[in-house]
Amino acid sequence: MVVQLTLNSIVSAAGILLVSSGFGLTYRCCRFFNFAHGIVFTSAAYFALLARRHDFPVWAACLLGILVASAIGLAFDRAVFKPLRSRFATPLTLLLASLGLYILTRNALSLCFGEGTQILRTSAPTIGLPILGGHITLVQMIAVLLSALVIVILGLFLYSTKMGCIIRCIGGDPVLAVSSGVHVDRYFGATIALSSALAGLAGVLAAVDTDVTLDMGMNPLMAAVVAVVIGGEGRSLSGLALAALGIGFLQQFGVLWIGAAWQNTVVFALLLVFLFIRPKYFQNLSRRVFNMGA
Amino acid sequence: MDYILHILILVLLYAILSSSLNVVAGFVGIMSIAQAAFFGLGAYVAGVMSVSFGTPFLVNILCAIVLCGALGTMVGWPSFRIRGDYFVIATFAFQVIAFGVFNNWNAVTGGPLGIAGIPRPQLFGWHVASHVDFIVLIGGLFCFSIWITHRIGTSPFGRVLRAIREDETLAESLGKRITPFKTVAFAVSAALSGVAGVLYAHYITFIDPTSFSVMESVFIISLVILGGAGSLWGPIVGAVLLVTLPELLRFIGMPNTMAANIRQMLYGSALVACMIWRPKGLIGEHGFGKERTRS
Repeated sequence: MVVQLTLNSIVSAAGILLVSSGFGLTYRCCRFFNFAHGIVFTSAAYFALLARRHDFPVWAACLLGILVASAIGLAFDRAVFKPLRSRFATPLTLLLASLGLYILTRNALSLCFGEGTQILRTSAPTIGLPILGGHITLVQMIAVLLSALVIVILGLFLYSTKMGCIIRCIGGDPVLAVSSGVHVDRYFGATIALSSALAGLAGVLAAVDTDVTLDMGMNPLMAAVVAVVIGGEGRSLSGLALAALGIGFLQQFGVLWIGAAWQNTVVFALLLVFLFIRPKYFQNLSRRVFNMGA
Repeated sequence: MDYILHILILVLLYAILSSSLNVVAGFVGIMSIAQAAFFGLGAYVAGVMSVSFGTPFLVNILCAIVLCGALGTMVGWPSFRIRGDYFVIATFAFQVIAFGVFNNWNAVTGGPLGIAGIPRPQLFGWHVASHVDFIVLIGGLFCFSIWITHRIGTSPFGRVLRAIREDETLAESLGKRITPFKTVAFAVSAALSGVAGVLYAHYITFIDPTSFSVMESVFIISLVILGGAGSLWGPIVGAVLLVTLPELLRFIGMPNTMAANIRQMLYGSALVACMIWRPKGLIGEHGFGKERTRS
């Protein structure tokens, strides 16, 4: 039982980590909570589904889903966030706009694909491979390995390439970045496209593992919000990974004591407690955020 | 005819909700995603009390005001010590927790099944049953909440709130303690939403958690943003537009399933479009557009 719960925790932590790494990257570079991240996750699953219906192999469908997710993220940035930035938008404005985008896209998907639950996987769900007395499905194993791999690559990208360095620099002080001759808007676009690709990857993995529903992006998004806030506002990937693991374990082991239905409630109670006991931590960041667009 | 009256009642309900959010969003300039949580709390207070204990309408509404106000203070006080966008996250967290409680505390809230058979209100021997009765009752409380927001807006208290909105540091340097002011505004806003919740429960006579989800909060936000935050009439205009427009879709023969989606798309795009082109909304005073704070 404990082994199974531990395995479940790790699997859900891997999913949370993938979503929150993108969410955190956007927060770190562009300094706003991009709630549209959740719908990018869902869109990837739906476009993979669409590709499957046209007889693409699973890997190609997943790849297509990820690419479409990235394109949708970029489109959001060009169509909404970029004009907002050039109008000196506050993080709050961008957050509200991203909420609007979430609703808009969710219902557009609903019109195209219908409200019901859809199935992407090719075979009936199996109990999975036995490991140490627990069970884990092949897809879950791939998801865990893939997300570990992706986080390592993301870390390498952020800390040892020039582009990663510039992205971190913009997150640190956008005005300084502009005055050093960085084309900031381009990097904002690239960051959001990259984050969306990460969300897309998480989305297609979730779609292959379980079902495809319109609200499948909501729970990962919520977990990502909590992980990013607790894990150091996306400034360190290891902090994020730790937070994701913590949330994963809390969700799964919380089930033991108070029942599966309370998962979200428990995690958000943790967030609220965290915000309340460490308020200083969330006050002192530079407020010079978007004043470079015009 | 009943249909039109029903729409009118919904408009009044949402106008109470949006002007309650306006107290926080318009006067203090900080957005809360927890309005549906307080709305739901009011509704559940009314539902549980009148179904389980048979309490009269007036007691329900007073209980909802006290409970929502108290909870608003408890959530607002610590939340206002953190930065603006984290305040949104804190209220978001509260909203998710509240939804979780509505949805899972089966013993009290009935869980996903909700509470059915909430009696129609009885007020000093006046049995409120028909649509017209409800319009009188809800309209009266609507006027009351408008009066409250108007009083807050024009009082010295409201001027301090506006000062905080425009420049927090300046307000602080004038000797105003920021957090108590914001907290009182938040509690008033919560209490007014609670009133709307009680009315909703008694009018619909059935409540379930889906009416008080995060999306409902976002809907209330979009009413305020579209109409315009900070002005007395802005949120009301927003409520009138966003509640009646989707109903018009029915008349052009749109199937019901599609209409729900189009309705949501309408307010999603209203939110995005207002943010880009008209941060002050249609007739608002405070825009969420620009970075005002000096760094």
